[in-house]
Amino acid sequence: MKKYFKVFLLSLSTQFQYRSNLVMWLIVAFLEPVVMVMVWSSILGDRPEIGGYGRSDFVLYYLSTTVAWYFVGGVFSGRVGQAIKQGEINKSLIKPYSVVMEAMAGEQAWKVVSLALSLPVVALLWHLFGADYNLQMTWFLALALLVSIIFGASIFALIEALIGITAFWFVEVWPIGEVIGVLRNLFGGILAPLTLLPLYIQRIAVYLPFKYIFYTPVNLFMGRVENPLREIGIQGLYVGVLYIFYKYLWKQGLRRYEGIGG
Amino acid sequence: MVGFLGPNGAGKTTTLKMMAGILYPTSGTAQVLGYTPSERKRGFQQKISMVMGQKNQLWWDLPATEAYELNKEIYGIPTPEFKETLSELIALLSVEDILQTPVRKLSLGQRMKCELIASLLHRPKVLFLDEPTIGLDLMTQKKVREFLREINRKTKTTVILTSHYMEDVEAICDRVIMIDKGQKLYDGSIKGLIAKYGNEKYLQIDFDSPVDRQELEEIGRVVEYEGVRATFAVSRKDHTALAAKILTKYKVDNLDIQEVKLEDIILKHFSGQK
Repeated sequence: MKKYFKVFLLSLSTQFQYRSNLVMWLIVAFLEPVVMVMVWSSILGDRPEIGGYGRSDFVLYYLSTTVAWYFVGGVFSGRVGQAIKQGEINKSLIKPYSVVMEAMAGEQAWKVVSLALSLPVVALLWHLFGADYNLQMTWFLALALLVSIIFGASIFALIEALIGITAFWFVEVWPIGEVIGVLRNLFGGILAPLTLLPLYIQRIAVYLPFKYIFYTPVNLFMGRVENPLREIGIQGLYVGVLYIFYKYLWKQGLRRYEGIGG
Repeated sequence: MVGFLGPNGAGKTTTLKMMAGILYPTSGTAQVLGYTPSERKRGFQQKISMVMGQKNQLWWDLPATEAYELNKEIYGIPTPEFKETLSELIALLSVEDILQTPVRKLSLGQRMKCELIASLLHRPKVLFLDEPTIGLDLMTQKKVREFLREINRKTKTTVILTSHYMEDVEAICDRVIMIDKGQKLYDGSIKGLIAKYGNEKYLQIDFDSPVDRQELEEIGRVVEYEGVRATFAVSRKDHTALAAKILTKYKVDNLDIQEVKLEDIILKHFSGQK
């Protein structure tokens, strides 16, 4: 693991080579939750709530989704696909080293930078719009939240890795990445809390892994999960199944691999 | 040190990749250091290394030393051993002054030197090199060759290299393997290869005044012609007689008898005129 921590540190130093990017991220970090909160505020109008979500619920929901993205998310399938396509994966086949892990560890670097940049923004937004929210946090919930974040991040990473290694079969991985991204936003509750979406979408979401990425930890944090252990159990199951599937696909992919590039 | 020769598409790089564990053989098996490369056992990976032309393991935006530190973690190299190997390699390639420069600002030659260091930090037993001198200037090519010879002598690292530059092979390889279309055509010393396929010698002659090419063609096979200078390819046993004939017929300023170059043998062999 030390080697991937080193990758993380190297990627972190790379981030500071391009400082102008940091400003862009700050703007993105600020814009997303603000826009979503403004949209829902205007939908709310004079009503106290919609589907159990009042103004401060929306603020907390989108702020925690923003923060959760930095903990759980991080799109790296493109990097993996590129590495396979351009033969950079060769270096990970001759060393005790994984290009997929490298991509994942590298991705964490900008997330940490963005998280650090977005925290003051999140705190400010929370102070302005949501400070009256009554958060109930117990030790049990905190522990459950931690496990849920780890599982959510694992599901996210495994799906990204799976998309990435489709490069063994397909020339481009980004179309698959885009499709999965849309599904993840819709069925994963990033666009809007799932309970506010049409019933059939909620029904489909139950059978897909996306809801267990962000939605579960965010709802745990907001105290909206009735049976935390059950949700975490399902998350764990997804991690296991996706991991086995990933290992199988990786092995099959390598057999097809042509070791592109000189 | 083994040179791996053959025309484009002969399967040199593919064989190298198979031996390094990058590719699964479609049939048959490969054995390197007692391991099956495609199983990619950690023990095997700790003992080999590979440098592939332009594919680099350095980090584009960071100094080369950062990639060395990463390799230290990847291979679990103890710090004292790492420091010792690194300073040895740095001294051998004289790259002290470029180690803190971001890789993107280095020249191709400087990058290749840094690549070589990265590939040798864990002291591999076998080093696979695919076109290590491609695109490098003559000085750097020479430096890289000297470095490889030194590494081979000092650490007994087996070096297997493919190269388009015959000078690479002639300068550093004791053994050459020639392949074409995946088939082995020759395996032995360079001398043996020249003896086997190079049954000619070259006579290079500088005339006092230009001589007509047609006239020269009647004497022997002309391979190079520049008016006052011509090179003949003649069979080994006839070369002295031909030299004498030319010396009596023309006013000659200089006459040079040369061995056939490895490059010419390869060219001749693979253009189908054995």
